[in-house]
Amino acid sequence: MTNFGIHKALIAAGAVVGLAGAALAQDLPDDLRLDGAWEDLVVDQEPILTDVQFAKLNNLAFQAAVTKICDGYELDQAKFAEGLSDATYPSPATVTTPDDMKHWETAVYFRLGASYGIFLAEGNAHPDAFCANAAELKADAEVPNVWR
Amino acid sequence: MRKAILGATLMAAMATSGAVGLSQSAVAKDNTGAVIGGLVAGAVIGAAVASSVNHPSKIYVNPAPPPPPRPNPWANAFSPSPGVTCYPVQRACYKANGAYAANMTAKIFR
Repeated sequence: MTNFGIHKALIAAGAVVGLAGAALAQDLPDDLRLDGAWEDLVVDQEPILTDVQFAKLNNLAFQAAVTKICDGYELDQAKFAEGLSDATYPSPATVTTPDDMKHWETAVYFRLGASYGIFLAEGNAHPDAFCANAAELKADAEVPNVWR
Repeated sequence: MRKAILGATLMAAMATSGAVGLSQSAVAKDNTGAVIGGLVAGAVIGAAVASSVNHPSKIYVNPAPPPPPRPNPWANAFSPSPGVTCYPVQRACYKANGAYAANMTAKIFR
């Protein structure tokens, strides 16, 4: 995927950031997760990916958000593209035509961008904890990341 | 009160215009009393209609009952290890510090 493609995928996040911010007040003091925003995003989500693929997409969105919030992180474009391919392969069996593929890719990019937006909101609200967990991922040899 | 007078005048005018058509035949029948009675009745009705202007114009209808609350999507959250909570619906894990735990997410949802 080109840089343009990545930015295109993430640009949808802008609209979500405000939404996620609005949900912040609903959180309990000991829970930094934007429960309401995540609920709005995932509860009615069509099964465009498997559970494992959704989890991988979450991690990509998180890592993209980390580069905006935490110092010392930069996306490796090649790793990110490879990670996105890994997270989205195979496509659902229901995707059979080029038009289906186009619609499915759009849905995946939208979901990636929306998740990215919520992670931006969570991270900016509590950067210390957010970046501490980013550092933990970077140090974890068992889990690959897409940073340089 | 001005509205009542206006309404009465309006009704009277309507009654008069209607009476004009009748007056030609009414002259022959000498129904003057009936015409005057009609005018008086019109004035009374007009006043009543005009006074109704002050009545509330909005009709309140009981709102539909709110939809039942959605089931809690996080009810099936679980803790695979101390200090970690995972949310299957979100396919994500969070640490006790409150933030997203990418490495735990990768290990649990695979």
